Amino acid sequence: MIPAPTRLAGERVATVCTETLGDLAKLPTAELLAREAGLMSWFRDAGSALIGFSGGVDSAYLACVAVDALGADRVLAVIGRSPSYPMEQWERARQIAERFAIPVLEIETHEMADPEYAANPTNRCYFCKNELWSLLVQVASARKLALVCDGTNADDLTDYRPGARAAMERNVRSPLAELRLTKSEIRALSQRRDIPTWSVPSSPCLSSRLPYGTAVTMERLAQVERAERALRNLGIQGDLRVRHHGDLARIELGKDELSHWLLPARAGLLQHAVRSSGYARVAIDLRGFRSGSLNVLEGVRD
Amino acid sequence: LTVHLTALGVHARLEAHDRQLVVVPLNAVPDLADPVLRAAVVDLARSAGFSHVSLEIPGDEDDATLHRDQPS
Repeated sequence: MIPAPTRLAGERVATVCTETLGDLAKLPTAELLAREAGLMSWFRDAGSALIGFSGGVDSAYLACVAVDALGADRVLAVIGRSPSYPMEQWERARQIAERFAIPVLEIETHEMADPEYAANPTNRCYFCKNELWSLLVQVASARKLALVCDGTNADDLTDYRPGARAAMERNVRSPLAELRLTKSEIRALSQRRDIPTWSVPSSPCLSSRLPYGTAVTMERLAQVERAERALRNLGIQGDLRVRHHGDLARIELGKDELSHWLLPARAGLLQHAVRSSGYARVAIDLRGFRSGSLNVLEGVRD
Repeated sequence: LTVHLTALGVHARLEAHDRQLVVVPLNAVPDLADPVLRAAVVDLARSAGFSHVSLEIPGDEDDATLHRDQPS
């Protein structure tokens, strides 16, 4: 029997996770491997598991470990597809599943049809996750899988994540967080397993690019996705967000790439790429990428 | 704020959208690739109460395919 966590949902932000790839080398290998052994043991105790699988850093690692611990016949990774889920991430999820022999099921989620989600309130994530987990719990029950898990990690507990409440209400477990695995540790362990997501920037859903109160529409999500894809095609590899402010796109770049792209000649390339995606105006954020920066504008955090 | 930015060599019109400041260059785009100058601009904006400060990159105005969206 796996003890239930005492608390998983952080309501307010104390700090922003600013993990960098440079942090990886600072972590003692023996301690890392012991934590992974603990995770394997956690899954064996569970017996079987359904994993909410986005193809991001956390859920990719979680699914790989689960298959190692339980075998492919007792694991199911489920991808919830909707207009807010980037195509690039779906492609990566499928590639990882194929490479690591992770059984995958894809389901359509319909959070866009929920007016409370589409209105884009500060707790928008709750309505999305409520839709996702309600469907995944049904799948787990039908397939007689013991647990539903997500990729929430220990760092996430200090972030503003209203979606965590939906997970708690559905008894979704978060083994990475329960075992206190941080993002840096998950990246390091992913690197050891040669999971390609170890160095991939975090990528929350496309709706996170819209300021709270700006209605979530398929057109806006598609516009953001086109702009980000156009910027990636220029060679931007690190953190990247296109924040949607009406007809103005505000580009956030990783601090190590900011100076490179702010040179006037290169900034013109960004401008052209984003305007080609349908924005009338293009601006580059001078502070660079900040996870959840729209939360700051809304006063959700400092 | 405009006066302070001009003193730094950043000649621009400023747009304030709540806590967001957009620096719109008046002619040539200032070279804010220089981290010292960039930090100075950010510090000025923050001291004026802005949480976000961005530099608009002007483009051709004859692009007919642009999407004009407004927040709802």
